[in-house]
Amino acid sequence: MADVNITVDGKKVTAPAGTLLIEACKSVGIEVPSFCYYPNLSLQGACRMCLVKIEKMPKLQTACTTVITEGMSVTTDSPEIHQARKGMVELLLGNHPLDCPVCDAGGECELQDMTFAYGAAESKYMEAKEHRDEQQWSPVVYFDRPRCILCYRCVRVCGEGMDVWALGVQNRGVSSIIAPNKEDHLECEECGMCIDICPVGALTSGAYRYKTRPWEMKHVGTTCTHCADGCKTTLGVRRSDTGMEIVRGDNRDKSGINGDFLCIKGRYAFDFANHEDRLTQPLIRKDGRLTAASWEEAFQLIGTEFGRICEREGGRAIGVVGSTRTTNEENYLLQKFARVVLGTNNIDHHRTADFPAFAAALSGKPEMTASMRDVYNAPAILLIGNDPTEQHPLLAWQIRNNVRLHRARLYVVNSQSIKLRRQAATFLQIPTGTEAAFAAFLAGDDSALNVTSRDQWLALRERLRSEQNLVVIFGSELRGENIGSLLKFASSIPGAKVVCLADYANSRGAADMGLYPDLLPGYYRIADKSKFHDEWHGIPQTPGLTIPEMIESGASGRLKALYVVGANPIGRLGIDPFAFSQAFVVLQDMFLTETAVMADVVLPAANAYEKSGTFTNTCGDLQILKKAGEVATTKSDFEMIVRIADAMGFDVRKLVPFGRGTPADMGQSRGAQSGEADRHGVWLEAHGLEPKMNPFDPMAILDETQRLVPGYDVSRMNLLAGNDQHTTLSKSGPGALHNPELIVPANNNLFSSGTLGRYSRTLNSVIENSNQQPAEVAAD
Amino acid sequence: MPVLKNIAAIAKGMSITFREMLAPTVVENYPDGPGPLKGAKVQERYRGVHVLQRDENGLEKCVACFLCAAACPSNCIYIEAAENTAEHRVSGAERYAKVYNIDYNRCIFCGYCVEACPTDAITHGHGFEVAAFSASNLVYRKEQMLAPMPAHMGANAVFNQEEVEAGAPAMVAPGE
Amino acid sequence: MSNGVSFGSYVTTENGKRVVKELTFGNPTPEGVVLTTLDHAVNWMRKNSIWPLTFGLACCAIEMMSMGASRFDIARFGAEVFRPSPRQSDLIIIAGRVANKMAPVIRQLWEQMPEPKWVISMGACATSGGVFNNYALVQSVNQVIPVDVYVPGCPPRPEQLIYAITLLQEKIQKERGTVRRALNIK
Repeated sequence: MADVNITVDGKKVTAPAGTLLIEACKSVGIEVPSFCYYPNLSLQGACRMCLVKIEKMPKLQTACTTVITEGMSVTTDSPEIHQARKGMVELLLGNHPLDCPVCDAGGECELQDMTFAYGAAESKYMEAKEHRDEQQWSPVVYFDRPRCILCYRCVRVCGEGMDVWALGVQNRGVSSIIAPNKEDHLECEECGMCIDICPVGALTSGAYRYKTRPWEMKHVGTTCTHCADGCKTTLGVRRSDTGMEIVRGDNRDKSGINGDFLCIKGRYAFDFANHEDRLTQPLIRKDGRLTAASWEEAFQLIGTEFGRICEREGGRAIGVVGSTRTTNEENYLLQKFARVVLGTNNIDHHRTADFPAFAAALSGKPEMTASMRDVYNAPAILLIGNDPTEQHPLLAWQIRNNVRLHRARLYVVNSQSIKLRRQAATFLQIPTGTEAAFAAFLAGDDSALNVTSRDQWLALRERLRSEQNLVVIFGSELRGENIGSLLKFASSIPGAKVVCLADYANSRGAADMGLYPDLLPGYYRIADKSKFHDEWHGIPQTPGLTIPEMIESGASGRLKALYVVGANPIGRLGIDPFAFSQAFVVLQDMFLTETAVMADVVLPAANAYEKSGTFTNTCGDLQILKKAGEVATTKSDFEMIVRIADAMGFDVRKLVPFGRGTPADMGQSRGAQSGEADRHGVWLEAHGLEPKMNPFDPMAILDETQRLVPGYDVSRMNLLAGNDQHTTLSKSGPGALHNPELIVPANNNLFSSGTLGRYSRTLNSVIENSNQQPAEVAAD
Repeated sequence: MPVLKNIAAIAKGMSITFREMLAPTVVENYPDGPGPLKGAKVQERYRGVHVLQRDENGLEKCVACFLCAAACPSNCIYIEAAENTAEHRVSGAERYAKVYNIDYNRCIFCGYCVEACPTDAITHGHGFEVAAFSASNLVYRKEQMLAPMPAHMGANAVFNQEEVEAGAPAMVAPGE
Repeated sequence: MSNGVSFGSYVTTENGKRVVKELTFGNPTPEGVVLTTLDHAVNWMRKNSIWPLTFGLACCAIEMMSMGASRFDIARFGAEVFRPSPRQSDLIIIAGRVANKMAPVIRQLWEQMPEPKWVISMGACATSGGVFNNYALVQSVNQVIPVDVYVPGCPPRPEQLIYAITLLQEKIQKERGTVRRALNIK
């Protein structure tokens, strides 16, 4: 678009035609205050705070609704404007109670800031303020009507952004009030976006209500541990008796891949960490009962048992089950532990998507994976299977807003009439189970052509073939060769990119890090010669056992020990918990899950909010986890794996290459005040100048994964600074087409999240409130 | 006459001594003096140990807004807030301080907390006998600083002294 | 708490609940009448002649000096003799913030003081660093020497320091085994 030149406060500003004046001012660092204007939402012009003086216009104009025109000359601050804005604040305060000391928004309230800036603290009005009692709209949303300044941001974000339309306006003029969709309560996705976007404390969070104040918390930006989208969430933490307690989750840092978005799980479901059933002590089975023991005792027992079995039967008598919710470093360390320390390839995890087949289809092709940001910017999107609104809320948000703001064309192919059909240019409902046939049809195999909707199928294929830069998103309905045929179609479209959807926070990371019995990190086949064989010397060459094979072999007594890290295979596969009654079972988890019923040793683990490391989301975006909470008596899975290796008498230096790097502190990072981001530390870390002082430092393993795993050689500086880094699959190993029947989708919906969801009070209260039964889901 | 001069000098010196002997004593009689301050003389404005005030209904004035903790230059105030309910009402507003600790190891008695308090809940008293054998004893809890509950509270003043002596409860504890 | 973690002799079980034992000063074992009476006499003499070291570090020292002057007059407690040498003093008042460079000096002075000796940590800075939570200061003098009495305040009034001295006197008076230790009898 052609550029337009304007003058703002004497500064020359050039911006594309069609830019709003308020955005043009922002681009040169001139702040124009506003309540109702919010980027990417429709214009309201309700608050009149953004009044500016435009030359040759008789009155003050609202900057948020004025489009810039050539030669416009604007003044954003003058006594007249100041007076106008002060008058607006005074009117807004006319009925706004001055209860800032007890208001949850106090300290991060935009009205407070404006009152400080324009000084309308004393009012000319003598009338008593109108009071209304606070209303509870849902377990997590409270509404305090007198505090509302009627900016309608919540109404717009709920409708336009979320496509839920649960909030609306009743009455008109001075009697306008924000109201929920079901008389006195809300029936919605409970995402809490309305709370986040509220400039004042009118909408407050049920989970954080009256707990603390914004400046009392330390805010840690980390990655959400629930679904596989990998939203950045900012956790507010405070000291507590047992370590650090997470008090609040939100996305005040909007730099993440999720931008403004966060769903109910990212915002509220951190409370499993403080659940009363959380394990805080190692448990050892004595006389048939799990009894509390010390860490030393537990590690000693595990080390002796594993060592004895390795010596007598060899590593193949031990099975290892990894997790989809532990960090990349822990997953990498776990498979390295299995292959190097135990000497076995019996390692597997809960598979929710066929990434080896995806890698196999992509290998040798140019880079074709789409990042989460690409989904927002693509001109056209094809979605096959899955229901992103329920299972991938961020992906659904990206698609919706791409359609709304960029007029992207969305093609939905699904067996259910999913909610995203409302944004779709074409919605094609296909019979259940024919996704694979559709993929083959796209690739040119007309034998799968459905007779009843033949014309629609053909029309859709024609339209798709005319697209460019298409982003193809598919769910776990497509597996094995079907992914290959879809990729064949995608590579015939110029600039097309692909996303494979998995279910858990680090499902992609677990796959990338080689938690497979036949694949090494980076999808190298175990039978082929690869760099890992040179690095690790003498790893077994034959593929190991998958989880069902482990169960079978456990029941027949051949498998002598099972080591489960952060997973619940018994609960998921619904097998006889006594299959492993002969074996020595070690479990690392937060709770006593179904798998703990048969465990001989249970070690209390820290969750993803309580450790540092990296996660790879389903698109392949690598993001950092920062330690936010802490329960002092638990240990991270990383530390436990290293300690078990140590208890087995293994030289941990061969497992974790710690002690490298140069101490180059220069005394600058030590004096940092508590709570501040240690930017100097980030710089040191990124340049390898901060030595990894101990074997429990995941950064030492990050060095190794960045060196050895293809696609993970991203900018360390950007990663540590909290930016998402896309990893590619084009340079990875050949992948494999194997056991598509082992893929068990978790089918979590908006309010469930495996084991973590079961122990989250907020999620449960929302479920109870909507009178739904918690979905029976595969727990992990 | 050096002798007379010496005698005069001694007399002059001793006169001061004798005059001061008769003058009222300047030594504070602390800790043997009368009254709650045990003879210590402090100004009205003296900033001693904090007192958390109650309102006319006997409810705590503190609403756990954390402004004192924010104003504190030495970070010695620790608060945990909780929500008032109809059954358990502690303060007059929506929330109250479930935990209110002041670490007198760090407190510098600057009075910024008192200035910051929007409800005049925290004030400086005149207490100064706070030395302790152990540093952990110097972390004062809310109960140690809270003003005593008045026997007869404004709106809740339902008992008179005779009734109290006859066995009526001296105070209506809120929320109990 | 049922896993049998031992807290040593400081924790006992009373009525099925674990309680921390009340800690007493000196040797808790009972002694004979003679020694106890002698202890009493020696303690009485000691508590009424606590000689502080002339040692000020910062603003608190002004209040400490004021305590020695006529309005507060610690001569009433026999503690007015500020000795310039650690070898002649019983009490060191850490009156002010302790810089990292000062810490070894304080340690040496304390080591040079003859037994029995006592320490008062005066003011927020000496006790915890106070407002100066930074690289330059020792965050509490008890990282360097053992402290008997902590006095909060910034700076504490002379009365507060006098109160600390009366507390110290109480502590000295209640000490047991004074004579045995002085005569080096096991």
